[in-house]
Amino acid sequence: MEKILQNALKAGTDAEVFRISGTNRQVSFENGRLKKVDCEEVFCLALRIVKDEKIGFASTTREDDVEGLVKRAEEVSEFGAHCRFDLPSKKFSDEAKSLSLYSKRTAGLSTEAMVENGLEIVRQLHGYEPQIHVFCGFGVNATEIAVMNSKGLECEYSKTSAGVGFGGRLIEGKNMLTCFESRGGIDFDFDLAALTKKVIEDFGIGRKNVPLAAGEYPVIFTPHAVSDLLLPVIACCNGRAVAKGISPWKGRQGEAMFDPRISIYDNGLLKNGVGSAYFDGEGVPTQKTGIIEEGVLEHFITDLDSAVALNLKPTGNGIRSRHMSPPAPSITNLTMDGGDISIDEIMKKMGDGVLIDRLMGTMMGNHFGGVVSGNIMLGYKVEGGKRVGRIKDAMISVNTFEALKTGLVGLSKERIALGNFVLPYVWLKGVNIATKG
Amino acid sequence: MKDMLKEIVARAKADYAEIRVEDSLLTQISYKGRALENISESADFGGCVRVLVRGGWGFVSFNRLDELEKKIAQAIEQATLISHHVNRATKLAPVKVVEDAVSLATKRDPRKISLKEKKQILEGYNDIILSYDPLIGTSSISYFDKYSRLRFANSEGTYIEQEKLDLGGAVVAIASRGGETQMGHFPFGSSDDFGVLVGKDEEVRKACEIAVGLLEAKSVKGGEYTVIVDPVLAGVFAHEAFGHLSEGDNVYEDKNLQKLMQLGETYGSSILNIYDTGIEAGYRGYLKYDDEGVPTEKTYLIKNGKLVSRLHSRETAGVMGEKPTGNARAMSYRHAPICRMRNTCIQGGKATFEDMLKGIKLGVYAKDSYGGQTSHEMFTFSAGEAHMIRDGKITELVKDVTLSGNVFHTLKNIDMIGNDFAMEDSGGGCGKGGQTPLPVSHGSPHIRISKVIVGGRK
Repeated sequence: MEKILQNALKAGTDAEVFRISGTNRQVSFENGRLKKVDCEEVFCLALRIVKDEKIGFASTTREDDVEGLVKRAEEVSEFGAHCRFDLPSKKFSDEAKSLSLYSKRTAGLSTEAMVENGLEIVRQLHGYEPQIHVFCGFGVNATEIAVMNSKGLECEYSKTSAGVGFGGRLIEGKNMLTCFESRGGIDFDFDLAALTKKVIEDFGIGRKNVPLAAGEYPVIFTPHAVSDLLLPVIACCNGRAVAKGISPWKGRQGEAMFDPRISIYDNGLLKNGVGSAYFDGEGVPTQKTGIIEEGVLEHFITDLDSAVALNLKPTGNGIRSRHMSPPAPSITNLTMDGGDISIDEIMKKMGDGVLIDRLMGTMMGNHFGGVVSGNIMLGYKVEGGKRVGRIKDAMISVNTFEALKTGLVGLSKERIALGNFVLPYVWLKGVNIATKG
Repeated sequence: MKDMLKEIVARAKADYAEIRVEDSLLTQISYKGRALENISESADFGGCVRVLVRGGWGFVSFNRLDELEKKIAQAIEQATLISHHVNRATKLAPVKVVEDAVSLATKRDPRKISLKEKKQILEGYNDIILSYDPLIGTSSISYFDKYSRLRFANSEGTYIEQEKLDLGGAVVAIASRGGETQMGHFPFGSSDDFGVLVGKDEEVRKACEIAVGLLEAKSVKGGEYTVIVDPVLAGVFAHEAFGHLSEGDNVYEDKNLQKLMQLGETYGSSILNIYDTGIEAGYRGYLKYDDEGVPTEKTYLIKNGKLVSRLHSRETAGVMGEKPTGNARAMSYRHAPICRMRNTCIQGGKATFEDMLKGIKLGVYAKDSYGGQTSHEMFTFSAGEAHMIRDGKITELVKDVTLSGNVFHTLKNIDMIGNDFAMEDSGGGCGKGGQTPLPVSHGSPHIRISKVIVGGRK
């Protein structure tokens, strides 16, 4: 890295080198059978050069390609964006260092152990119903990340992450039902037995389809579905979108956007968060940032460039999405505060309504307009506080801005950690559902 | 490298082994508003080995070729571990042993166009957008081109070298008023021609018109409608509604799905023909050989309303006793190939657009696409522009139109197929099994579908 930095500084006035290396291991079961074991070696070097106040970015996966890397970065800098920020020189805080990003259990998890866990899940699901077409995947990653720049910053850390996702598809006649669960974290600490039980329970209720007339309903969104509901928040709090005027939240800090019970944070220092890190892809220390606090829009998430554009401090959200991409504002871990009643009480209180667990097609809506629209891939009719069957061939359309302002009825005290989301159940009133017929 | 790869793969002690090596250069340019956001060049070099041992697959990817034999040994070790749990041997469908080198044939090669010229073209579109209307506050423009050199060798003796080009992106106009933000876009994509991005002033102006128009538009009222879908969105519909379900890996080990998806089963009316093709040069799904070294082809999935074939890898074809179709595709050397679509199309029919409008009392004309998703039985597809149809006439623009269907009903509800077939490419791609975005294209004429559920306001 030092050699790259030295070479780069012959070409430009400032430079930054980012390196990631590591291994990703995966075990996959398909159709109830152990199918493949994958091992991916990860290596990437990325370079930003500042020359004549313009930025050139290049990356490579060849360790011996130092000259080519510097040459390409210098070449594109001629046409590059104006550099209006200073590279950071401060190392990350001690507070950050007390956070554990590395789990020995994850790093040491053997392929055999993943296989055994998977076989048990298949056994359980087949024990409930042999016709279920079971899929299951485990992934464990161990990576080393380093950033070095011409301002003297030199930092690195090792990190692990683990994920599990499993479920199945059950075809009965011309009815297909897919139920699945997934979890992620730094530590491979998943209660697989409880998750399996939950999937079996979902199959039990979801096998029965019940009709639902089109109309407005009270709806409880599970944490999985809440992550869809929050897509407009994620789009609108992005510092780059704000700086460019794409986000309608520009200039509205301090304004009450949502019901005062709503608090949403980006937290790069979240314990066991898949998106946690000591510093972001630009070497800026990560932090906890209040996006919405008690309903009020407080902060945007920024990288170095958008922070300067907005005259704010960078929040440590300069994320390199695919190692090989330049940094851009993106969430680390998104958390939402819960309420004070349990999900069981919420179900009882709602009595009759709808519970939505999984939505499909929500990525495509106009999130800057607040719209989340999608097919209810897995949702249930609720009667007397109990799920009575699955609703199908139904669409919802929610404007998150309006729903979280005037439509919120309650939040569960339970929150579920889904990799880089920690979210409660959200109960909304007046959600419009379009159905067949 | 050829001899080295052939020799090493031939020595692998496995039932089957393959090595892929990929060397690519990716150029990206993006703007947000007037300001350039990113310009970059990324070199990606790497390879992978995949081996089959008594029904178990082992896969290892890497960035250095110097310890290739060790990687093969590691993949064999992984596959052997699995083989202890696998109860049957995996039979790969036989294919011809091939030695071939495929060089790139381009119309206008982006590698021969300077960064300066690429920037000038994009900035020209930016000027159009930013001077179109005071309500258009900003723009978002993305462009990429990627040149790859792919090498494939397997233990059966096949060795293929292919050059591949992929380019695409989108020019987006963003209008806002009060707290409302709306967009219009011009997406583009190709596997052989930078020209798809040149001289598109009209298309960019149209995107501006949509963005501004949508600020005035009301949200569509949710419900069941007869919908006329334009060729762009109908192509996405074909991909989501039936393409994914046709992928062999969905079907080959699921006896219940096999019962539903027996060849000869009726899925649509006799006017419906759906195919997937890898042989149409220029479109983003095009390539002569897939990532298992199998030649690509044009595969009919539905012919005259009946299921006639599916999209296979060698494994899924082998298990089902069907023919491999060249649809085993991998995003890059970091992934093993899985069954994927290439260019999925609804074949042109006889109806005119006027015929389709006739008799629709209340319906939706949905155009342009922001993508779709499927759970195999149900699927969604989102329009970029939509108008209400009232008494056979196209009327007001409506916003937030996401449509949903069910494979067992919706295909049968296609009652008219237009005579205006068009292939469209965008800069997006398809996602499956963690491999996103894979370049695919779509084609279709206008089609009319009854009883489509549209999400929306009360």
